[in-house]
Amino acid sequence: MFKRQRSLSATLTGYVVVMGIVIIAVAFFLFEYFSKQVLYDIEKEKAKLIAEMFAPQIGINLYLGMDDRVVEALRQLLKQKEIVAVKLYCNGRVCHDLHKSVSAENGIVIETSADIYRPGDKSKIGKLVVDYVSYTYNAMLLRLTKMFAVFLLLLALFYALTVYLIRKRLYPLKELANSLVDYSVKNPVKFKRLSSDREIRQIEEAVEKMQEKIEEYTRKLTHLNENLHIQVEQKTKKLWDQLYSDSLTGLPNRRAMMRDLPRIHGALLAIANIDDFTEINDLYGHHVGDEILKQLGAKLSSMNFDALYRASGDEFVFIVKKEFTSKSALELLKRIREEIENTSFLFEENRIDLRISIGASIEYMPTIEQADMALKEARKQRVPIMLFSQNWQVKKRYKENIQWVSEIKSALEDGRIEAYGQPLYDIRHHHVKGYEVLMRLIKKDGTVVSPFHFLSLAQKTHYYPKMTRHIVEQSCIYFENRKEFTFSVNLSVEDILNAETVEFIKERVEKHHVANRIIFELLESENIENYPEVAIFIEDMKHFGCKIAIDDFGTGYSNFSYLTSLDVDYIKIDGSLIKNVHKDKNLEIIAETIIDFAQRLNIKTVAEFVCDEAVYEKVCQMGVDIAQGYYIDEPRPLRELEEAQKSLRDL
Amino acid sequence: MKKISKLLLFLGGSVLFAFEPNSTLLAETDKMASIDSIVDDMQKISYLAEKVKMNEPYQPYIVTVFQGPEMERIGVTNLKDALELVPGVDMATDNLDNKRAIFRGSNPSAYGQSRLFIDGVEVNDLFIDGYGMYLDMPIEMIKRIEVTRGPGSVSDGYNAYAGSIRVFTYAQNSFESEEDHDRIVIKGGSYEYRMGGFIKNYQKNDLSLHAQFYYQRDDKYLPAGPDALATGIYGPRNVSLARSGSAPLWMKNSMLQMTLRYKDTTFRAGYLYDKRGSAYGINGALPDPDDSMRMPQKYMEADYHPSMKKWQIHIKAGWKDSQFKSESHLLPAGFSTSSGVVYKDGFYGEHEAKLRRFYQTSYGSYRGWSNHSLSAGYYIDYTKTYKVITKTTDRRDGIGMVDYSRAAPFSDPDAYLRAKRLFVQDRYDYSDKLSLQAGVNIEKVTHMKVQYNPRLSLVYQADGYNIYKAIYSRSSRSPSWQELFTINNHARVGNLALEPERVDAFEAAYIHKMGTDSFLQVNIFYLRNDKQIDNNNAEHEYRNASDSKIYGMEVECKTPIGLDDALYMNYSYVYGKQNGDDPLANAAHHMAKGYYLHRLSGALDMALVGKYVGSKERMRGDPRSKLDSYATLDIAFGYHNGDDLKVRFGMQNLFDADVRYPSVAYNYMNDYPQEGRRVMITLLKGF
Amino acid sequence: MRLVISFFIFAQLLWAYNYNDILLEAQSRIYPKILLLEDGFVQRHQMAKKPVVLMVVHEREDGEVAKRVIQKIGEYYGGELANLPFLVKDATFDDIDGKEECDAYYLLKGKEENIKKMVSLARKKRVPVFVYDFEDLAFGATIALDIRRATVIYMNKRSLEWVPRFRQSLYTIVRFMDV
Repeated sequence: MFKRQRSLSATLTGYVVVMGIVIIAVAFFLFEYFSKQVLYDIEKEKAKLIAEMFAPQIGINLYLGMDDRVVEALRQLLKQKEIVAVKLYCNGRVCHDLHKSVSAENGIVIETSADIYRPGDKSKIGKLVVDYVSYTYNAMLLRLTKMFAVFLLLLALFYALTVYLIRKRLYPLKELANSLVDYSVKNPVKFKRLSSDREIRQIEEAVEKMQEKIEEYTRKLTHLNENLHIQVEQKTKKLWDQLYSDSLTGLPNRRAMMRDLPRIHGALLAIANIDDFTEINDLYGHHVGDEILKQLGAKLSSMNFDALYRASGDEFVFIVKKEFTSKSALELLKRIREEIENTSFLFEENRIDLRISIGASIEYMPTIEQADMALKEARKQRVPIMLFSQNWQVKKRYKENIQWVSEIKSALEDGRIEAYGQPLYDIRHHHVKGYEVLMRLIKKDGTVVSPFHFLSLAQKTHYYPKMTRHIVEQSCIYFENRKEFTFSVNLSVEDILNAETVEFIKERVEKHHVANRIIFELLESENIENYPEVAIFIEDMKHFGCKIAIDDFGTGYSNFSYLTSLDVDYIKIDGSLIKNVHKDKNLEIIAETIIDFAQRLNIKTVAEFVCDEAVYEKVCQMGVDIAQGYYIDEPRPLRELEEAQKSLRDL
Repeated sequence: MKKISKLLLFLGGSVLFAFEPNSTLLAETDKMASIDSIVDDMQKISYLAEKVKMNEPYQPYIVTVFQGPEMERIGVTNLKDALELVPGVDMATDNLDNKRAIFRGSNPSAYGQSRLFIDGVEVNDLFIDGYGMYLDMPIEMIKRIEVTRGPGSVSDGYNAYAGSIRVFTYAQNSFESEEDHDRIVIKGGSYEYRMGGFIKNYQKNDLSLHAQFYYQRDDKYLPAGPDALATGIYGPRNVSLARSGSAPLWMKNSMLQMTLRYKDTTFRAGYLYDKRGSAYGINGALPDPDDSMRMPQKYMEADYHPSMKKWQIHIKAGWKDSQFKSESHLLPAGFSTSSGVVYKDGFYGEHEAKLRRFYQTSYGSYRGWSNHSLSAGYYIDYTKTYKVITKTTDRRDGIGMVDYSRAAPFSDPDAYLRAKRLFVQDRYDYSDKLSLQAGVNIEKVTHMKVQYNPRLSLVYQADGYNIYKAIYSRSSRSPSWQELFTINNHARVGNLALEPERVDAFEAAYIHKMGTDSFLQVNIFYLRNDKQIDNNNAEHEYRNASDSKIYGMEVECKTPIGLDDALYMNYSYVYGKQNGDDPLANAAHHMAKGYYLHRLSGALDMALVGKYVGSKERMRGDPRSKLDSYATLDIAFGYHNGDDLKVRFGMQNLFDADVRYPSVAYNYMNDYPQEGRRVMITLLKGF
Repeated sequence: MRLVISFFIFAQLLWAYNYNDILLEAQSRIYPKILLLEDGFVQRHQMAKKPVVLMVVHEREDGEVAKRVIQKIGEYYGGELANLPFLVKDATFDDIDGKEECDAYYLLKGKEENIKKMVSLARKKRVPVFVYDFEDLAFGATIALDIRRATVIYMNKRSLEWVPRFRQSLYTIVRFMDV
């Protein structure tokens, strides 16, 4: 929208004028108010004060019935120069009325009154009315009026001067603005003479310098533009190629595959995977592995599939767009496999034979997940080729579930859910500090099953809270009288969301006096920070004196920030980080980061899966506080702990 | 507006005084005959009345004031007797017979919950924070006792917890006398009690000197036992060693007090010598008759107190010394420990500790700001152990004495404490009827967190006869030396992790003034005590073990009857729960006290004093039944010959009632029986 | 401060039954000054050359108290009130018959009938009655000083009908009782 632009000097002048008017208006109003109202109020206040000053005296005398003293007081009041008449009302009528004759010519008469109270009381027994003549009022008013007139005159002068100066000083700026309006490279501005004002002169000089620079840049830019166009075109193509192809084999990569797959139907989709490829890498080195992949890629390319991708590492995905039966598909895949396995791959002097596994799907809309599942199934069943089948998958899982639910149920009934303990070894003080209490299901045949196999299923059943409570109760009972040990119990988010379970835990912790020794381990991977209940639970339990540990820390969900917000006491570094920490530099760095972080927050660290001496040495060296794992001792039923502790090796 | 008023005031001034009749004549006469002189006198009297708590009903505290002479007349013999008459106050004792006043049932296990001040100097000892050795102070040496219940004043920086006791002797400022309080006192009574003392004043120009001294001793043994061994706390093997007999409760107690005043500076010094029998034994085993304890105390204080028209300032510095020395048979012959050591001749111990404190405090009040009365100040002190001696029977084989002062001293020899306090308070007289007061006392003691103790109160005087007060205050008590630093001792284990005890007190009072010298006062209160310290646990470690909620009421009434009789009565009720639902232990729910004074003739009078203390519940886990209530009646006769010679005869506990102070669980099962019927004759000559 | 202390150097009345020492002290100091505020009091005495007489009246048992009061007033005023000779006498309620020369009565505690009797005597003589116990104002006494949160002078309005008038300023600082 177009907005009318005003000249700066005109605007400033406008402001000054408006401000001047406002100030004069306010001053005028104040003058009116002060001179008339306030002056009058002051005089009235004076009169009232005089009246009020006499009122208590008169009150006392009136109360005491000393009429002569009342009259005397009124006379005293009348003696004041400004008081011309005094009236005293008692019982609603005038009981005394005194006045003196004074000319009120030069003053105004103000009538005011004061209530008369009984001494020490708030009850009114009369009213004093006085006429007060103020001689100063008119004189003050006149003086103020004169002062105000002078003030107005000075103000007007001040504003006129201000306007003049603004216009004068801003003139060069106006000129400059005018000349800049028509500026272009071809039509530069020329200043006839430079201004004497520093700021304006600086602007003028800057404008001149700017003009020179603009000219130079314009030249250079024109040149550059021509070259750039060609370069961009080349680069874009290259980037595009890189994005969708594998740099090693030159085949389309996983990204390309993901782009293409949704469009495929009625085809065979297969994943071929080199068996034991890591061994090749380990044996010959990565550069050989890369070479083999390159050759395999070339080999597969030569088979003319409808599409071929290198999905990742040693996995190749190919698509044959044709309707297949299971039989025909299996025949094709077998042929492909044989062809590859019969090919010898050469590297320098080494001849390397490859074996591959293939998983494939011939569903109407085959997906990479189906092929992948088939590949895993193939591995599991130790067959080289497997086709994905909707059927076997569902059935198997259903059957497994039924089995587990009944197993859990009977285990609960027969008391075969048992608490095991695994020692937590205090590295610095060289002693067993406590135990982690683990849940174990003892099958009827005596096999001990770790909850890994049934926990996620159990969590969906109503048996789960019972299992947790059972473990909590057993451990509380066991550790009640073993005051030298702490013990930790695993809790899931489901446990904490279950109010009954939480209540049960609190009740047991109190009953068995274990509040200062129990540690609750929460699984890090369950997004616990998103549940307010968890935070409340932690706060509650910490209030009791309990401690909180985060289990399996470092498994990918790692979020350091919530550790601080949740106020945890221990971090249990995930076993997957620990068990190879002495071999793998990357793991070591991750673990060290966690430990360092924990130390800063004053959180103790526990290393899980300490399986042998090498790992133990490493975690000691890294500054872990507590070690846990088979190297120290395996989990044992609680009743065997005491016995086991005696034979614990001294680390 | 304010300016205008000012402008007009000069007008008014002339008006006011022009109004006075015969004013010209007045100027000639003595200025004494002016209203200013009267107003001036009235102000001075108001100030004095406030200082001696005479206008206590209008002050924002709950105070009971007893005048020494009145106490003398009713046959009270010492400070302890007087305190026992205060509503809501009971006495408690322990194995060392270190008695203390218990206010409103609040933690009878702790000593320092109340503080004793003598002429403004805080005299609680540094070791256990108690004042038992001052409780025998003869009443003839005391001019006035003010007992503030509840967490008292913050205006001079002391943060009393449950109550404070202020004793003023005849050296007290406003009552300094040229001649009248010089006196000699001789007393004698049961248990071979003998006492002599004097008060002497000297004054010349700006200098005055006051000295008072007393010496008293008795040979008191009271039945006690069986001792704590009978309860099996030292194992069944030692039960048969339990004894019953007489507990040595004799004392030799004397005190010298000097006050020197020159212009605006006052020096006070006091030395208390106190040696007494080992009572019921530190470890709960009845000691030998001659076993003794000494707890001498020394203090010295300089107080510079210039006074300007609107300012009252005190700058004080002082020093206090406390000693504890015990030489006693702590365990009987044949005593065996759990580790198999047998003390063939018993276990004997010499324990001595000396502590010293330096302190400096300054505070002042300002009354120049409209209706406000502002006061503020600070207090700092430094306390240190400078001697710990521990010699006991050889703990390995029970043969011979070994000096364990280095290896196992009974108190941390390197311990020290620093305390800092800051306090501010303002009283605002909103009107003639309503005045409000707000203040805070901030305290930091070594090892402890900073404590903030606010205080808010309101006094409403509906008319000349009815006054209402409401008070909220909080206070804290920092653990005593014993509670913090006792080590190598099985009966008491110090704990550096202790936190201060804390109380929130809500009090309300109604006072009905019936005449110049008669009143009826009703107080109700609710106390919330947190982190109460005791060592009633298996390890005997001092811990912040309990909390309690206490509420109750006190009714107090004093009235002259006719011209020859006067009656004073009070009743107090306390109810409370501790640690949730346990009953409040060792505190009497009901107490009633009073005295009746009758003039037989101009020279002869008599008084009756009655006390009832209700039954007391036991602590949780204590199998004993309640401690029985008791009631005592005392009688006193006095004669004076008009020439300042007074003779008094008093008989306390006329009906020989069985008075017992409670013991804690697993100690002396039959509690601590107190004196039965006893007599006292006093001769007092004033000069 | 020292001024306050030295003002109030006084002995405890150890044998005074139910008398408050500070109150006695305050009254002994202030009552004579109030007397001076009677209208024309000083001139009257100057002209008549008569001493000022204050009569302390008490029950027989309180003789000691009365003596102390006289002693106190003596110590403070030294026998002179605003350059006028000043006498303080004492008598029991029974001894008083209204014939004695005096400018005011100061009544210690007394039986109701005694107080009433004194009031009626004073009424005839038109002299003010000061009392120790402010409750006695109820029986017609003129002035009582009491210590509340601050010091208060009470004046019985009814008795003003017959006592001489006081200077206006006194009325401004007292509290009136209308009993």
